[in-house]
Amino acid sequence: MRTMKGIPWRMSLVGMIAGAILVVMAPGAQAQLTGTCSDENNCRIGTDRPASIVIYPRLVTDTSSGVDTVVTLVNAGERRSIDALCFYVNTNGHCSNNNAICNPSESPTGCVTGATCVPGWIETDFRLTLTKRQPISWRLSEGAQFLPCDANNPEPESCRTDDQGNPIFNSGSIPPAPEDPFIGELKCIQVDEADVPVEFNELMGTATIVSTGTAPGDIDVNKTNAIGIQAIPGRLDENEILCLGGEPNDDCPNGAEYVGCPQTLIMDHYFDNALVRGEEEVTSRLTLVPCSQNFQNSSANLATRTTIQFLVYNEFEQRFSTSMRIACFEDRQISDIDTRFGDSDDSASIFNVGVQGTVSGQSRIRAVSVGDEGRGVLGQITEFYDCGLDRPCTTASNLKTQGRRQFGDEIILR
Amino acid sequence: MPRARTLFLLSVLCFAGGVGRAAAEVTTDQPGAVLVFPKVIVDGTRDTIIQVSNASGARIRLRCFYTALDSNGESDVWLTVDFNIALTRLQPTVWVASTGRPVMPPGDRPAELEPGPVPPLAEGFLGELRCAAVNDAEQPVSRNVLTGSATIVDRSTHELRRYAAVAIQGLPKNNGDNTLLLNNVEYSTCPRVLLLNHFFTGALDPVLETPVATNITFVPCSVDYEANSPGTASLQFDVVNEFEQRLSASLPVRCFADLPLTDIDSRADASRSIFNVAIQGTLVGQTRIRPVPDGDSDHGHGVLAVAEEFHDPPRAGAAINLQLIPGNLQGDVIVLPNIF
Repeated sequence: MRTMKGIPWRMSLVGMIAGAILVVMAPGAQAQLTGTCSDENNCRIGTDRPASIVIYPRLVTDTSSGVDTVVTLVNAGERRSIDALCFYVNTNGHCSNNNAICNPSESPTGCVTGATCVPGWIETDFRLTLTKRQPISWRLSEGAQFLPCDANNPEPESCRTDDQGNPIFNSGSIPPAPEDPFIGELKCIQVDEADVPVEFNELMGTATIVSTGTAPGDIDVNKTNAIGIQAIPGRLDENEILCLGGEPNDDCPNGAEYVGCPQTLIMDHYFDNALVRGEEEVTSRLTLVPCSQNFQNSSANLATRTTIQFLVYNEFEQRFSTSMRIACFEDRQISDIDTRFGDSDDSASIFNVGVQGTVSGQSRIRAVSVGDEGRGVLGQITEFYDCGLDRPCTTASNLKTQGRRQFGDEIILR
Repeated sequence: MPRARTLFLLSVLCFAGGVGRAAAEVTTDQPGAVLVFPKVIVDGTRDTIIQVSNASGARIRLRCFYTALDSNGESDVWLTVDFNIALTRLQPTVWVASTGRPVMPPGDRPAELEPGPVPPLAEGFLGELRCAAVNDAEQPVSRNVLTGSATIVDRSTHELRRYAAVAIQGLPKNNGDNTLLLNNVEYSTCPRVLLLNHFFTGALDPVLETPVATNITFVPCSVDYEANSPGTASLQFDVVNEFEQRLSASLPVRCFADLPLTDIDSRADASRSIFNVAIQGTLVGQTRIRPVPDGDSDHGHGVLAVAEEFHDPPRAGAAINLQLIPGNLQGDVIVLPNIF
């Protein structure tokens, strides 16, 4: 008669192996092992993951003032090469009388008396190919006429070959910023050779803003990661409408193709004119860009205005609130959110230490949906410190995110 | 056989229990239950400003630990000091590492809104800060409500470098004991891979035409405050340049490591490092950093990190959070000291 000894532990071992197989094969676990995401639950918007859409909310160049941005775009994937379709969005304002560049979020705007500073939204797109794990960088004011492994590069270098020994090339080029000075954003979308968006989540990037002062050796640097929006595998319908979150509708029959924009942005900051460490006065600029963008009809972007609600908490747990309306891009000192542009009445702002009484605050930012339009926003904060030099010292950081929006956003490609 | 069948089913369920679990990750973008500030420094010229916020509508307590690796001349010593603070609903707080927060609240502040004392750090401190969300009984809780950032201030160069604290998110099945399991059951696992996009050392900044250098700071995910035992990790580096050429290196980490990139593989001669532009030939690179799992059954060897990039070093710099690929294959453990 066969004994039962030994069979239970063998069954346990077989069970463990079966469980391990289940773990590995399950979509969520696959996502963990490969680093990509598998469904809406583990796909994310963030600055710490490769994604299919990367957004650089704030790029600036003003070479006459010694300011420029070094942009880095990286293929984080193991694939042989990937294609990216990128859009510079030029949000310079222009004076109504002479088209000179101005800033509608400043006072004075830069236009002569009687002329208005008309906000702008003009896109310039370009395409490029990145080889496996390749990083590239370029200076915003100069672009890159030739990529490192471009066959047409007049200074060819020894780029790698593929498994068959064929050389691997980049293709495409990167234009410089369309204007100088320039302020705006850059958006890059992972696509295939036919410019159809793909779901592989392999892009990431950084933006480094470099400023030089008047004194020799006087330089300042701040750096942020690009914001990545991950694609949800199996959802892309390969048309020109990229659906960020939301339920199925006429434009998005599959529902969300990419992760939806966050419900709330959390900005941890110093109140304007607070003295950090008791000696350095600080002010902050908030940059917001809408999640929805229409590259087919650029005028639609300026016409769409989104209400942004702010809840501002100080260290005493006291709460103030305000709101503002933005169009396609907003880059504004936080004390100008609830007061007039310029610093004449900043001391009365709820973002100012004069009102709040504490050094630091937590501001919660929520974009208000309209109908079934998500109207989400993304952004970053840049801090300017009076560090005793003839120009401020700066840091930049990404905002935290919390929650998902009920309604989706759309990026419409050409 | 019924017993064997039961054991089989239990084994399958135990192993597969992690499947389909709610997503929780290590992140720099969202609130978490544990915050890690990989680099806190107080020396003759540099200081660190710590900001922590409660992103929820309910009060939360934090158990925080400063740790640093010091040397007493004969061997390395792992120094740790801990403190407790409490944040009311949506409350932010800030302190400077060299001065901390006072024991007695200032006269103009309501006592109930005062987060609590934070000890000052002595000059020469170079280490990390780690805070875990706890309840009023000081039991760890998986409430993902904490956000934080650190700003390193350099008085000599007037440089400021700000980075986001790394947040480890908690999961529902937290038993509240002082052993925090970073295993996707109590808390999310540490990253399987960290990605750093950087200039190669010595590459000329395209704008300033001055050399760029990068510093990186590693802290192990696992740490045992009860036994005063720091974590360790063995890291593999995979460096790819713009020509897709790949080189690799490795580095052991114990407790804390703060070093220039070139010191990873070539402390004696930076020009011979795979992180140097002289070797790589291109401006920028992508480095994948992978903690190597081992057969340790007690804890894993994951790491967290922050980098600092200097343009015309040491003058102009910025701090960088690394990108994180989740899912370390080995769970890490944070052991808090028992209350007695």
